[in-house]
Amino acid sequence: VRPRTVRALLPAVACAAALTALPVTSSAGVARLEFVGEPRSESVETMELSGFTYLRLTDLARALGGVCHWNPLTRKMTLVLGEHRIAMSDGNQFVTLDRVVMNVRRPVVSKGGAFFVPPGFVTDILAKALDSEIGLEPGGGVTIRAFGPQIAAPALEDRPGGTAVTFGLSRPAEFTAESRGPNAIDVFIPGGTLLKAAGTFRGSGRVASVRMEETEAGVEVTISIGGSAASYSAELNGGPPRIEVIVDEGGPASSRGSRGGGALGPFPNEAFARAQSGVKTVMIDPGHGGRDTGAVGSSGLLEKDVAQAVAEELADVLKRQGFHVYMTRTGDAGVPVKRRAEIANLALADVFVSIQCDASFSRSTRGFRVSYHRPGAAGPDAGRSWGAAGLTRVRPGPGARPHDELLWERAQNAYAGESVLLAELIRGRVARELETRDRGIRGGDLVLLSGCTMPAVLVELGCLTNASDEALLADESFRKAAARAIARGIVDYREMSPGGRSL
Amino acid sequence: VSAKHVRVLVVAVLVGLAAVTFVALRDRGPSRRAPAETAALEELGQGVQSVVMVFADREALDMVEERRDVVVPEDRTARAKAILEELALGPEESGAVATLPKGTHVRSVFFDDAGGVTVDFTHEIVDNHPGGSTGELMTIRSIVRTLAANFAGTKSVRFLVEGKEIETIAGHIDASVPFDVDQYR
Repeated sequence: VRPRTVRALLPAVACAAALTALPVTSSAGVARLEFVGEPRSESVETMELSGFTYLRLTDLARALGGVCHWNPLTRKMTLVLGEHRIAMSDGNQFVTLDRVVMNVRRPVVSKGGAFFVPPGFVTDILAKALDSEIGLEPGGGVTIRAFGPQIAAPALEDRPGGTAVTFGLSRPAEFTAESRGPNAIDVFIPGGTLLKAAGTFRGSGRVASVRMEETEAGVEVTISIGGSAASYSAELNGGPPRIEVIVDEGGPASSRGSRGGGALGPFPNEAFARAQSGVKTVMIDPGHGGRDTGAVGSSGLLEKDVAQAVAEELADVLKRQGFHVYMTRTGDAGVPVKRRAEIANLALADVFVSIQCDASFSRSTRGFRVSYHRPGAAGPDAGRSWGAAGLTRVRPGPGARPHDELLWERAQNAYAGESVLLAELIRGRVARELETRDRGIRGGDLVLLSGCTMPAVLVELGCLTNASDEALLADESFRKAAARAIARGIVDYREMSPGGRSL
Repeated sequence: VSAKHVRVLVVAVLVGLAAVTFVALRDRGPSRRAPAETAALEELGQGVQSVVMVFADREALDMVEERRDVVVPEDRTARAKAILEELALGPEESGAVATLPKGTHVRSVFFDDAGGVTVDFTHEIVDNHPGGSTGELMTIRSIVRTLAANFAGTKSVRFLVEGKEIETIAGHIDASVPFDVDQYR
């Protein structure tokens, strides 16, 4: 049976060791992992640190069939679990899972050359990588309940030229689709389970019926085709994950395109699926908020209010343009700067646009500007260490692979070129459509954008410390025009992106 | 006590009041230290030196240097503290604008052996900051360049506020790591 339960039966056996090198009290122990239904059992070394039970990474990797790679150049540890890559560094609470940056709330620590991971790593990162629900018991026990993708009942829709059969999925999943004779298409989702009971569903158009069954290996779907031969195509779609099989009217019993008919390649991760699907989701970040008012104009206009008003207007315009739109804050909420990028990463946004106002010590500074992230460290010897945790920034060497650069502070680097393009396209639209001074685009070591795993820009609409800019920013029609101009810049970017023209 | 003494006293008090008023009303002036203080500092073995202050230009597009003769201590860390305190007072020449928020003071300065300078500011650098990425960049560049101009071998400058690490000064630029002198020129 695929759903497998791994239980830690023996709680941690304390083998107290005073770890004097760490500034906090810690003690070592061992947790035993026992795999129910399997004869083997594994032990995982644990460490108590500030009241939290940390687990030794290499032990977890061995127990779960993964491999650890240490890159001395980037000082980064990568855990490879099946097709997933989990990258982390010492003293850093941000961990990447397949290029998506996640916050595990407490830093990963290394002790005597071994990496220990915090509880958040196990419950969030490992659970996602293993498609499991993982519970932690006091003392280091770990309960892992694995599950595959869940498949919903089919939805049938007659379209001009064919019939679409769509299955909703609880998460993106691998599948195969093959024709069996002229009158049937078999779809198989390995490891999957049915959301509702198995059964045969009535067909529509070219589709006579759809039968769904759950076996130990996964979910088997048979699409029976009425009448004679038909061609079909099947694909995994972005957005809410779903498999779509389109059965065409008439035609010979052959597959369409290179993907039809045979087994489809696996879809390794969400980032991959996202890259293929064009620019669809926009995360808008209204700057500041809550107690953080941002800049304040001489008449008392608050940056956070301007940002929110323009952001809401921008959201409306973008929704009308067919984008999925999310905001990092709704209402006047205070959201920490790094949390904003994290929200965008978890939403798998394709574009991140922060709306803010500028301010200066000089009252004559005015105009709008679009900024992108440009990392602060320069040169191969720019390694800088700080803090007791010894977190070190080292520029990866020429042999480093892209995923080696994907720690939090480097997450945005992979999108540097795209971010500059997006900044330039937005600047171009704003400069042409608004009566305001164009201060161009600029790169800076911006905390807000550095963790974004997507093209990301910061738009500063004007300087609140300048009287004429402040009057503009208070003006309803200027705000609307600014939102429209920024939206056109994003649409321009969508047009230039892969998959953009097909939308 | 004779009438002459009283007159001298009254004149002295008036002159003193006028001086205090002048200093208080004047926002910016060539020297903010009373002559007596200067003399006292000189007696303590501290001399007048020509130092470089880096401020922003009116458009906040670039930085401008201003040379100023001030009394500074011989000790390196005390001298750095004095120069930054002077920087916080703003420019004397027109065409330049202040780059540190009102009321900002320097709690302490540390030099390490690798060209790193750590400056601990009072909370006003955050609380009174006008905000904006432009304003923030002006503050950082001004401090980093002023230290680099006056202390040869400075490679990076790290900011602390009230003795603690900060993420940013006004919400934009990463201040949790030292600023590279080459980067913030």
